[in-house]
Amino acid sequence: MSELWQEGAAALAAAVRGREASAVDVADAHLERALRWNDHVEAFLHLEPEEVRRQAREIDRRISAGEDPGPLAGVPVAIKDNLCVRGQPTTCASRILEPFHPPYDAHVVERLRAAGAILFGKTNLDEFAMGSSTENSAFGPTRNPFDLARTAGGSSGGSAAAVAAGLAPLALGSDTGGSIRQPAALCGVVGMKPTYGLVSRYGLIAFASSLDQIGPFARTVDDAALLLEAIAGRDARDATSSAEAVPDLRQRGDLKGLRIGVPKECFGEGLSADVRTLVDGALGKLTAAGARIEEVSLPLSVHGIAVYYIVAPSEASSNLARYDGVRYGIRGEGASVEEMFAETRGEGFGAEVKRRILLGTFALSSGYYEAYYGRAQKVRAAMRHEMEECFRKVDLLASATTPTAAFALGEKAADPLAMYLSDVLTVTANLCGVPALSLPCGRTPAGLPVGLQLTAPRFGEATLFRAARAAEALLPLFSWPPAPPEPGRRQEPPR
Amino acid sequence: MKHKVLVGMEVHLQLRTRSKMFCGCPVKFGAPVNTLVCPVCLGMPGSLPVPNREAITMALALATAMGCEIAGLTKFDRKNYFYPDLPKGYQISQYDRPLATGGGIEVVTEAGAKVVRLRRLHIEEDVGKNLHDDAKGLSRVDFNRAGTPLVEIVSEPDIASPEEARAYLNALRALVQYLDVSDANMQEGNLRCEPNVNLHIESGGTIVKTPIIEVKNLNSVRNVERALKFEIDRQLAEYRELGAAVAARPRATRGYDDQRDQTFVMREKEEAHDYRYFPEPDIPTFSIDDQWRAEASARVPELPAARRGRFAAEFGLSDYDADALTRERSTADYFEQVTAAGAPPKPAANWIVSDLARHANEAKKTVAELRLPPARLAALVRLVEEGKVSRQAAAKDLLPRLLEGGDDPAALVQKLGLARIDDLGQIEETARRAIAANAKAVADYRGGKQAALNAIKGFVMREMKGKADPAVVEATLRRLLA
Ligand SMILES: [Zn+2]
Repeated sequence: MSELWQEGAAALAAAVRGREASAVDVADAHLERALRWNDHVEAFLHLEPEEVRRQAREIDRRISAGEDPGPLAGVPVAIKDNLCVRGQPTTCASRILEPFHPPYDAHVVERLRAAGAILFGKTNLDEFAMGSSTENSAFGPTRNPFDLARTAGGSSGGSAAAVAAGLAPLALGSDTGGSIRQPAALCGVVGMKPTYGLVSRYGLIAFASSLDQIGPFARTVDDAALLLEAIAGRDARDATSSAEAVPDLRQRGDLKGLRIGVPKECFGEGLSADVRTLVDGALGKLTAAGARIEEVSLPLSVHGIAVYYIVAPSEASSNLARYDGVRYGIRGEGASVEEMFAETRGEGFGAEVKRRILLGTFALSSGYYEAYYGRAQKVRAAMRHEMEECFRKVDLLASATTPTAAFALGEKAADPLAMYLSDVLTVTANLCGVPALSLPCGRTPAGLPVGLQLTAPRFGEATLFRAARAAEALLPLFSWPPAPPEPGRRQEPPR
Repeated sequence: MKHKVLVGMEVHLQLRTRSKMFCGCPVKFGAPVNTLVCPVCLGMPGSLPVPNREAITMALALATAMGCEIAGLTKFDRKNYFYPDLPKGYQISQYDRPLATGGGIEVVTEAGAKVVRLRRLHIEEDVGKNLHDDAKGLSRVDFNRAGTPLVEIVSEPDIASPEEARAYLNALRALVQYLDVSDANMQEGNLRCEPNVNLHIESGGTIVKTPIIEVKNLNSVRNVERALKFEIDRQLAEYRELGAAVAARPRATRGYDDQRDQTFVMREKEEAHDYRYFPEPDIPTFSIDDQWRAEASARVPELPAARRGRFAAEFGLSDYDADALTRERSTADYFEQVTAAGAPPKPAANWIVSDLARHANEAKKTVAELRLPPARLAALVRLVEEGKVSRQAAAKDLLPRLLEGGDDPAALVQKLGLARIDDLGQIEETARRAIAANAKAVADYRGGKQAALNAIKGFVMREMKGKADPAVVEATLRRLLA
């Protein structure tokens, strides 16, 4: 048997449930690797070995007692640090929440506990999930396991890097404009954003409420489905949570006759030659396997970034108003309550968060509302309609996940607009509330992973996963990143 | 110089739901600080609001009772501002698609009845409460109240006097009590009102409009009335001083100081605060379907005005009695229970409106809260009507015993020796003694002072311990003195 950390989630759960491996062994194997690698990739903001082992011992105890802890028995799952875990630091990679320990579990965390999973640390992100490189983390960027000088993507960069480097077989992220799919693509793993409403947002610290969805990272489509199955379904605590039945994520089948639309707007300038080559190659393989690839057009999608950068900051400006120093988080000094608010927020938020709060505040201001927020919502509604119409003609859409492979850390940090454009291919799914999945489709000559994005209609996860499984079998297998240059430089756990 | 008073009323009413508007915390007044809270009403990161259907149904019942037009499609919006008692930095409210619009409330004053039109009714959540400890220089926030469901009812400026304002609030209070949707108690803060007032002053063929003033800090209906009186006089004085230039003064918010009985400037606003309203993305737009409307309508009982009319028609009560009986729903219910238990309606109404109401007032309770079983009051009323005991003796001696828990009025009459004396010989004998003992009153009466008879009559009644029929006593005295 290969090393435990190399196993996928399904295999680990089977081994633990079949008593072939103990949950503590599984936890230790991942802890050992995580503690060694984290120094280089900075995937985790918080990982407490004792707490991980405590959970693993409990799983082992239940198994010895003849209980079945659930479909994720003993499987470590890394959690993006904008998801509340009771009693553990939950910072959103922001100074303002540095001392915050939520008194409750997010819905998805409850569901993971109920499925027997091991909550395996909190992963790095762009502050409040605002960014595409984790460079906006107040605690330093995550690095791409395939090239430590490059970004792991963002905002869920920590979760993507952890799964890619074998620090955890599964991770949860959140996706507001591409924050799961973009880092998944750049780190060579599978990342998926579910239909809006399929997964409860209760306990996900909001960035933009109408766009945010929680979703899985894994190294295979099967494992991603396993994790999504564990967290999907109606939750009465989220009014936007859907009452629709959870789609069957286990379907298998070939691609014969599947109509796959390729939006021509996704293949314009800005798409790098390397990415285009790999995506064209992947589409060729799908065609050869019987899929009917046809060009489609989504003319409104070119407005995606513009609409996104009005809707998301507007909602964020309101969602982030609660960080005022009154009830939790840091508190600034001030002679008056207004000064205390200003001091708290001035010290607590980083530059990108402040930029978006200002953008959103402006877009919602009286006199500007109709021109910005009101109009953006109208375009968004038209985009949804256009998407629905398109799905009358095709079963799925396919494109690259990102315009380029991983860019160098610092390369776009000074240019917010260039950074915003790295989400150009992913925001449409959030604006339309449809599910989308990124799976690896090869590496550039420099060895950097590239992702293929598949998009389905709302609640079309069954087709999406079935096609992704079939595509995965045609595309290059997941391969491990090279070992870091100086393994084991620091042994103590991250903060 | 003629002037017209224009008062519009903005009322916030706490709904008496079991749980808060967007979370499961209980709604209760007076619990220890920060004990009725959870991640949702504290605005903890990651928490989400889920609307309380019961609160919406209550608001719909209220809207139905006031004849409002209920929205087919409605939604919640965020009202953004920073304040320490506002946990999320925004209040969930309703902006451009309120739950209901239009409708009206009928108010009755000495000037007659009129309908005050309503502009809108919407739902929002309450905020917390700042607690200041000036001695320690500390401020704390109690979030027990945060998230309590509120209904905001905005009227048109149809209210034309402080008296009408009082009548409006009393009518609204009676309405919500009938609907059982709120305690509507201004002292406890579950009914809060902010009137806005200005004057249209006619002078030399033109109309000068004084700036609209919103008045805050009003914790009783009486203070609303007093504050409006003060504000009307103040605006008139300002007009006398400034003339037409008064119209250019800014709109303002003024507080009311009830110690000094005057209003004072809180802030003058040139423009409205920018609350950056936008649709609440955490709560989908929802529709009020026919079934929901029917559910709300089913909760609307016979309302005070209708019941007043029915009581007058069905039981032949005076307008005064019918009105007094129907102001509190529980009192009207009690009256109907007493008549159902066999009491003749007119005397029963009289007993409730005069005697029971006085006892209730002294005990600071409602009539129903006196907990006198309806059958017992009915028995008492019948004893009086059948002439077994005099009205006076029943009111003075029997009713207090019953209120203390005495259970059989007929037995009590025997036990206390209260049975009415119908022996005309005994009455005449006592009357003769009274005439002998009240020489001056007798002389006055014979001299033409009718009122002097009361003193002699009072003597007889005292001598007979109130057990004689006052009418018989009076007739006997007149005969003997003729
Ligand atoms: Zn609560």
